[in-house]
Amino acid sequence: MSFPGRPDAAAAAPLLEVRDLVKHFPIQRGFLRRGVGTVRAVDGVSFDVLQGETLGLVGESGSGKSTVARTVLRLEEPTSGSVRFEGEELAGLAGEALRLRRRHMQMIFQDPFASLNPRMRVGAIVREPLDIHRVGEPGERDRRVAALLERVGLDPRSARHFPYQLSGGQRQRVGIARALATGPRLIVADEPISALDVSIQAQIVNLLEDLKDELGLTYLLIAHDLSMVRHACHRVAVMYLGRLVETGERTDIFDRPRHPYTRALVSSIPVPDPERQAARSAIPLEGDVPSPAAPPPGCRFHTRCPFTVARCRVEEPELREVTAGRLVACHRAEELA
Amino acid sequence: MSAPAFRPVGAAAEAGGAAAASPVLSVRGLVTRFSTREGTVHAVNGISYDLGAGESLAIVGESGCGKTVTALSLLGLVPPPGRVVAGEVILNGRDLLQLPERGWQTVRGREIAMVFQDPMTSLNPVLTVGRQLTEGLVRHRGLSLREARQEAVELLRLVGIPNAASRLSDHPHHLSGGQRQRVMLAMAISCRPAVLVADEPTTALDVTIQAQIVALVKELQARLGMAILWITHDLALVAGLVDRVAVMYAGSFVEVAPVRELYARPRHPYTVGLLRSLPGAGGERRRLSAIEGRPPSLLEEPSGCAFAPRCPLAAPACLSGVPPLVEVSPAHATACLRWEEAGR
Repeated sequence: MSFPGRPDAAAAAPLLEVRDLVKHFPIQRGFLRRGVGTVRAVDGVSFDVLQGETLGLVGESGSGKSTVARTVLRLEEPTSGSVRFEGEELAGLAGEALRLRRRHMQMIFQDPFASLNPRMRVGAIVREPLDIHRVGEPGERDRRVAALLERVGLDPRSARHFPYQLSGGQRQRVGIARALATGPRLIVADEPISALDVSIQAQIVNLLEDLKDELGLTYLLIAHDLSMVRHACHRVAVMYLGRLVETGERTDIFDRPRHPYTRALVSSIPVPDPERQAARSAIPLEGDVPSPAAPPPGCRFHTRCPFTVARCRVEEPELREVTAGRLVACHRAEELA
Repeated sequence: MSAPAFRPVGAAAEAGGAAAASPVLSVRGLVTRFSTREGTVHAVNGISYDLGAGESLAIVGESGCGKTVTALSLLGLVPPPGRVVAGEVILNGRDLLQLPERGWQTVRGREIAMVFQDPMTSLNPVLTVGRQLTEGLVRHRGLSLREARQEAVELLRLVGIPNAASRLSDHPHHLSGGQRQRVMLAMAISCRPAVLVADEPTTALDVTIQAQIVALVKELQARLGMAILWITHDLALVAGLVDRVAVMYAGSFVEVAPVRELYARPRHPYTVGLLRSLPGAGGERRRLSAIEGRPPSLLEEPSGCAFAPRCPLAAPACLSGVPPLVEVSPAHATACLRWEEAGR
């Protein structure tokens, strides 16, 4: 299956290759900030984002999906692992070399109010990355800002406004214009629509899709709204407690999920159709997500999984290919199919 | 402001007929305003509806449409500078808006209870779960402390908290988000209210936890026979949740219909726009149709249809006078002059 704007999956080269990514945060207590434990936010995650695709990274709170996003862009220093962008290893880069790379990898944040400097006018916010990365001649940059604002559906005159004078949807457009300023090839979007109203969400999703087609962008989309991920992504990676449990094509993940967690997740998505909603039943998951500071031994999902057997409690399943293009981390993937 | 002639008929009434004859909650011409320095905010502009015993109604709308203020108005909890300036809220035959503040205390929690979006802001962080649960039982139901503790354990069990007895001594921060919402529900149902108002109780929760809480509320509703008023922005969520839906825009109901009818035959362009802006239920890949523009400021009292500036069907007549909510098919009302042309 192919979608507009996406090259043939077999032919596409990975734009981003993430291997064994680990990010642990120390838990510190007391006056001396003694380390008393470790939050294993991301605990060995590997995936590729192919040139021209949208990869959705989904999971519930505490799954580590936002930490993956921030670590990939080196907003957080990874504990270990490798991140290659266009074939080049980012792990060792620092200073000028990192800055040059970052020009091509930009981020869109969830809350456009928190991510825009309230004391700066919109024009200055969008211009800042142009100055930092020395894009174009200084004299031309304001014209470039106007073109960017127009491209994201804002009146160029809004350059004079402060963020508080804009609506949530308009602020997110400013965030997108800023991310586009340096001509990135990869956009990491962390919950770009979840703070917006329903009628505005569709506007922003459509804008992101248009920009992708027009500018040949590649997206890593972090989201908890699974119906939007289903709409917008080519491939999906599902995280649970710092690990990937399943990755695959959009239709595989949503229509034929294999990992018990993915199944429960997909069955819990509310569907805007009373007839269909009445006909399906959510697979209930008992209990809550365990703490990432003390993940269960063996398969991290075994405490909530309806299919747990003895092996699941002691042996952590590897993420392995069970059908073409689909990877599942479950000992019982075959028998449960 | 007078109540519109339209009287919504509940789905419960369709099934049994008894509920519509004497609704447990009857709201007529409710108007709530906020006097601010910028001017008067017209948060709720004269809404009317009935809720049958055991029936569930969702009020769906985007932020700032007045749905939460509508809920707070029912419980006399509108924060200053807001004030209910007109209307009736008749619960079990009494107009709550005529009650003195002392009178509210026998109604709130006892006959009508509310759960909020963020349980952490409504639970007292320094008191144990047991203390907060028993307080209402002692005050409203006159139980002894001992009886109240027993009842509290029963309630926690009812809302699916494991090891209920040992959780009484926990503080709210010991609980996960889903468990806190369960405790809130236990408190809300502790006096067997006739009406439970649920203001986005699952919005802050993860999708698998949301599914747990929704299943729990439905089970409690069936078991206790409560009527539920569910306040939400989530059209997908309510599809599997309630009997009837009221769509709210800029302080007014623009469409009210039984849930299946609303999704199958929406008759207001705003409802149509909201439904079209959602990704398809079957995962078919199509471009989303966004509603252009954004909701109006509530600082001006609408002189015409508030949705007209964003409406693809808007005609000059839409701007001269607010369209009334009229019944266009049994139990289905819409506030659109061109409803016959509106549809999916």
